[in-house]
Amino acid sequence: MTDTTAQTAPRAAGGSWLGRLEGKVSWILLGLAGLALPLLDDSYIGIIAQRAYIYWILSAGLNLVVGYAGQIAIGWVSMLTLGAYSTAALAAGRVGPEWPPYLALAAGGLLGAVFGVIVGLPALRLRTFYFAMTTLGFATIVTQVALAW
Amino acid sequence: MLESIVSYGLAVGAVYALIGITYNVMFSASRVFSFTAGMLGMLGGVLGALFINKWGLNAALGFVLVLVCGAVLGLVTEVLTVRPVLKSIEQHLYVLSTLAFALMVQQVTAIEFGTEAQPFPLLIPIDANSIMGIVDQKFWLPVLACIITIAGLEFLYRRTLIGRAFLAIAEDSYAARALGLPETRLRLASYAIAGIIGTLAGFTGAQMLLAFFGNQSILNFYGFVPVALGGMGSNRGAVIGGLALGLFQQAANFLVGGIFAAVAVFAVFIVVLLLRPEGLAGAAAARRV
Repeated sequence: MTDTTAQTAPRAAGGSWLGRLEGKVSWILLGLAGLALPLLDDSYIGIIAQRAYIYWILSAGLNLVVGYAGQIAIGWVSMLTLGAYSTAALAAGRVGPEWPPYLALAAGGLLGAVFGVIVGLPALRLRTFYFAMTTLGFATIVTQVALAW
Repeated sequence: MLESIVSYGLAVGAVYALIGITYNVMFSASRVFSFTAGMLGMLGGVLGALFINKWGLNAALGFVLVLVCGAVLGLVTEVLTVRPVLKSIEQHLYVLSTLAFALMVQQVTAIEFGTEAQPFPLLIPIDANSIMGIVDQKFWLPVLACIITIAGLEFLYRRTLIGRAFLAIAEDSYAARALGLPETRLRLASYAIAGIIGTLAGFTGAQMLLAFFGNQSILNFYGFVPVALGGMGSNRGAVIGGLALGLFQQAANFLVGGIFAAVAVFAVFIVVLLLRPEGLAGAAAARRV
């Protein structure tokens, strides 16, 4: 993936929109494959492929914190738990009236952002393993709340 | 209600304090904040139930065996996860290596021992009507273990030559090596001591917390809170922080309910860390640049 980008980068600088498109061709293919996932339905391969896409998205979020911000975050999967539980609870009508699924999905994402700020707040002042411990503690509590729900 | 808050809170607080001391002992010997403290606490309960309930061993023999297992695990932790990353300690790789080891042990425990919380045997046969039976042993055992551990550590650190060598390593490992102290062996020894303290916490607290593999993550976090509150490396701070945490958590349990007690603890933890990042008692450490 990265190889393609590296090779086409000089040509892409040439300016034609076709050249710029060429650098992103692997990403576009990946996106199209993702859109085609429903064709596989609930088959064995289909479920594995869906999980792979979910983990890609999850690690893209983690990459923002660990890769770009340079913080050691552990227990990041708690964010996945948070999104999954809140979306499901909203869509199934466990909290108030039933929400339309896509609206519930957006709400789950927003909730994740809010909790991301809460967990990330200490990172402004804390050194690495304090922050790591904060994220681990957050994960522990999310698990406890999810289990008790 | 007040009695149960105080008795349960102090008992569970003593367990948290002991886990905090486990963190401290490992940290002061190696400058590595090993995430295996909660694992040791969890294993103290699980192994105790295995030895005494399943194998039918005598309680005293089971207790000694559990502590031996804790010491061995401490040594394994040091050799497998701490020593290889000591050279690159500034990159904080130990966060991953110790955590990975702890998670693997937890998985093996879940597979071998089962994922159900299991009862822990009564350790000391006491007549409920006698003077010793006024307070349930599950409440005073952790407190007693905490007092003995603190007294033992104070004696070790202040009165014995080995203990002073531990302090020297904690103060400045480079200078201590230059004086000819066997740093590696001392580090191994303090990881073994940490293993004993961690399993002791789990063993004495297991009548309350049960023998349950999921205790690991809970103890890992709630054991770290007293360390963060009391300042790193300070055992007294850990004890005061642990007892305060236990009481606070128990009071919150009664006032707002089980789930929100955990949320309340987390909120207090974050607020305290934001206001006093070096802990309530600790002095701000100079950062290596």
